[in-house]
Amino acid sequence: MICYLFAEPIYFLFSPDVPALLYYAHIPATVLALLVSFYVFWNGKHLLLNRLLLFIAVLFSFWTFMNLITWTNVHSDFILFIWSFFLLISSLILMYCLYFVYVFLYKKDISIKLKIIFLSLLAPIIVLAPTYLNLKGFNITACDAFGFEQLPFQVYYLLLGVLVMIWIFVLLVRQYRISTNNFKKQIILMGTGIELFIFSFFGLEFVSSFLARVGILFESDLELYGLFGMVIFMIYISILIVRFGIFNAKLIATQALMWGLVILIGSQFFFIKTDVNFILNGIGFVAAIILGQLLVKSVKKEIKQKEQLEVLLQQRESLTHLVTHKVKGAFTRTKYIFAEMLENTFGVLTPELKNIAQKGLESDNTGIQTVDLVLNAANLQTGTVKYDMKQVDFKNLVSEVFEEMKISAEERKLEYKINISDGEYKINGDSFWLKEVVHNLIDNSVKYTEKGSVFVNLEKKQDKIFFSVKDTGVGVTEEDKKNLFKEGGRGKDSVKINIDSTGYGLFTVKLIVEAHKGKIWVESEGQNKGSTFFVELNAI
Amino acid sequence: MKSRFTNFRNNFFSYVLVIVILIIGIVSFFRFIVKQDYLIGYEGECDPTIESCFIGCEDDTCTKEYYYTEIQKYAQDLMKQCGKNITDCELANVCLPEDNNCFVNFCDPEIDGEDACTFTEDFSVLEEDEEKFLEDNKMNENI
Repeated sequence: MICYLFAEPIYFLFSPDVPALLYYAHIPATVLALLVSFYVFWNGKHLLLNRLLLFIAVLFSFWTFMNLITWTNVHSDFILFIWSFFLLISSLILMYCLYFVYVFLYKKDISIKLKIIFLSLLAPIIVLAPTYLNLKGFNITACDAFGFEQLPFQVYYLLLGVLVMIWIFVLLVRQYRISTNNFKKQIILMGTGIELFIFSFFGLEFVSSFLARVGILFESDLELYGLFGMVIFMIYISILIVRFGIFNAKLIATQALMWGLVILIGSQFFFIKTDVNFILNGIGFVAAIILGQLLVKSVKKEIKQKEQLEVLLQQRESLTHLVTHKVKGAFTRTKYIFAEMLENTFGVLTPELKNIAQKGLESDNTGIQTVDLVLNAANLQTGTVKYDMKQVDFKNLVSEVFEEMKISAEERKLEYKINISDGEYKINGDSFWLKEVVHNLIDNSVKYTEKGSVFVNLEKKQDKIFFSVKDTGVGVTEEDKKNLFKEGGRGKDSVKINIDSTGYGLFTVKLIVEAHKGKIWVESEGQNKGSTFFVELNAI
Repeated sequence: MKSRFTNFRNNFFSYVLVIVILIIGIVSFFRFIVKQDYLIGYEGECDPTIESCFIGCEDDTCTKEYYYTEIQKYAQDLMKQCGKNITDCELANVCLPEDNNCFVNFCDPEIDGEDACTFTEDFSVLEEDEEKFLEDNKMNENI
């Protein structure tokens, strides 16, 4: 029978009797879903997760294609044949979303038992789909079957939708609690995407058809907005690919953005009524493709250069480790030779030879310290160092290091003082590396101060601890301040005073302080006017 | 053999679904397209001067009204009587004795609301009118 109030569609799917939003909602969502899922599938055909995503997208495309037919076709028998599959396809999408979440979370296929449970849940919908318990008839005046859909079938479908949404939510929460931080972020993204998709697609579809059936809505236009849920889901999938590289796919953000833009501009064609707008949109569409491709090409080039740079940095890092270990080994061997000589292992030394051996030993110690400094800086920079964060009494730590450095300061005849304000100085940190910070700053001040004083201060203001070392040494010029905390950066004249200056000390200190969520800075009135180094840390 | 079995086990969910959906497709095709086994609902003609009709609007602002009855017929019967299109088919507006599951629903102010109906005091007129039409139809068939 023919819907006598409606015109036959042109090219099977195009009808003047439908809202323009129909095509705008269906076609971009379907194209985007197929593009993303095929891309994902292509990058890892063997992966179950990729296959499931493709399956969901294909089912969704079937659904949208069928929906377009029911909106535009005027033959009751054909529409009913298609209509009888609606809830079946929707339920399949639901179950495959659940299956997808399982594989995403547990990284393996689900058990056969679970598959049987899924099939059992689908069974009533599958078996009853072509019967009177699903669809009884068709209204050829309104050209729909809303008034003939059977309530028990609809209710079962609704309950299935709610069950799957809750099921997915519980799975996500359970797995979230025991996952690593990185996977937690992935769970949030995937969970939000899939739940939003299910909610908008199934929720709005059901509400819309229900309102149409009870006569509150004349048309079920509301369901059209639900399809944008798939767009949201695909955006989240793209973010997961770009940020976390899941699905084994290499998609760059620019590529995703470009195709998204092209699809959006392309879908404007369904809205356009005038020739001028059609031409303008056409120009915009072509320009978006060409400029987008150029942009993608340049970004890809940049990424390639970045990857090459990373390889070079890795090579440099391994070279640094190799050289420093070899050098440290050589220093250590000669250090023991000098030490043995000083202990008269090779016979009693003359005072002259003893003096030379002593200088050799001191030189080796300095060499080993320098190598350690470079090694530490490299390890801290690459994140190889794992901080053992515990509660530390910073006051004790500073006092301890202050005492250790007392001899050096006294040898240089410097006024060497400490002031610690009253209060608790507990912080959360790694005592070994914090000691390195305090030691380095005091040691620097002592080394770069020829006469005058070195003053160590520790105070607490609210929940912040301020540690500072003030000296009357060489000072820091404005120019030096810019590079002081950078890798290899040091004061312009620092080598004149300290020939062992490596430029890695303050860089290391900065890395450690920042790893403890603190701040470091220097204040100085200029060359030869002394300087004060400040460290700010969070108290607990 | 073992790998084939494992492969089947892994994809069993999809295999079963594909087979079942194919079967459902065939059954559904047979029911709706071949057998035309479903009801058709539509708006039938109605004369507001003698019948209680539903009031419909021809446009969104409802400047022009039209009157109709709600009719339901078995698709197979309607197909035999009117072909694919019911426009200008008189038999589509009435239920014939040989019709299965056919009914004509006139507007009832108590159920549908007074605003939805054209008002007729004597409903017996409707029934008599329908009976008369059916008798005439039978006589015509006998001739």
